[in-house]
Amino acid sequence: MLRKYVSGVNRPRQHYIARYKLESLDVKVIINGEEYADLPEAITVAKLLEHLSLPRKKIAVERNLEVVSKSTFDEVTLQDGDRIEIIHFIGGG
Amino acid sequence: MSSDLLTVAGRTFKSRLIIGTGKYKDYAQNAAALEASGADMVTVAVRRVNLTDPKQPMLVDFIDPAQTTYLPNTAGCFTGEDAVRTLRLAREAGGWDLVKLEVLSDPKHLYPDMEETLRAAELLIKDGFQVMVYCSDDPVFARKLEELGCCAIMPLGAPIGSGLGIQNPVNIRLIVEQSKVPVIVDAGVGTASDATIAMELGCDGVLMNTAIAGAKDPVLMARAMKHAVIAGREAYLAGRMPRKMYADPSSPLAGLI
Repeated sequence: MLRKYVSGVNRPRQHYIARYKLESLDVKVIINGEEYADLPEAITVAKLLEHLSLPRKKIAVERNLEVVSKSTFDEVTLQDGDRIEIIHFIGGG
Repeated sequence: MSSDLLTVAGRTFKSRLIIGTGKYKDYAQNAAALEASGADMVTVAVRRVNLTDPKQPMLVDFIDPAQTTYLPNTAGCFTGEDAVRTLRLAREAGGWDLVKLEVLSDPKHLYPDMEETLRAAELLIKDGFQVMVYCSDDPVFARKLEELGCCAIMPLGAPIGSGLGIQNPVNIRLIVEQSKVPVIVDAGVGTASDATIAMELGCDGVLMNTAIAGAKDPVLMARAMKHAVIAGREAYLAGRMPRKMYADPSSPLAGLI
């Protein structure tokens, strides 16, 4: 699986964390079917969307098959192993 | 005719034409076709955002959900659970509970899987959704869907994307006659006369995508469809003349020179 780095996150610092701290402190999540490693600990859904440059008004988020209410984006934090889906509307019949 | 509105689940719509938003060259053409069609409801699909290119154009930037009702569909779902999952996300993204259920089967004909459609409709209605349901043109299934609480019955006129027109007007007519909720022909319309035929049969509306998006000039076809739906509706309300086996002259025979 591809290791993806989220834009806006300081990459060198990520490596520092990886080298000097226990690996289990890294948060790895699957977002839209792809693995994202080295996300900062305790990152909220709101922060994640900011890092991904996604406008929160136009999308919806599912975490481990449960819809994350928009009103809780600032509170819900990602846990290691979470499966996240971020959707929007596209053309369809 | 301005008071002849389409009412679905307590919501009223000026237009009896609902258009899809798939297969257009781009969203700008889609928006232009929407304007020409006069429709105030569009179907949309729910899909993953593109994480590698978040700056890609989004449908909501071209068609404003505050102006045009979005009808999220379940295209690509093959089970009731998939449909519920997809539409829960759609509800969170847009706040809409009016949805289009379609549970398809074989990609060759895209006919609805009616057993699974019934099951999915029940799950969605329990979850608080207002379900407009794509279904076969079988009056028995149509009645079952209505009894479950679906807010609109949407039988196919012909296979999705085929443009073959209304293949079974007898069944569409039977469904129209028995239904207390709106009946909207969904799929199969190819050109303006097909939409008119659907409306002349007494349908409350027509839903189409490829007939417009697949035309050489989609914006012009969108306008043609607007007129076709109005023409068919007015002809239905006017009540057509009876069919006769023989000619009946229009000019009086008396007073001939």
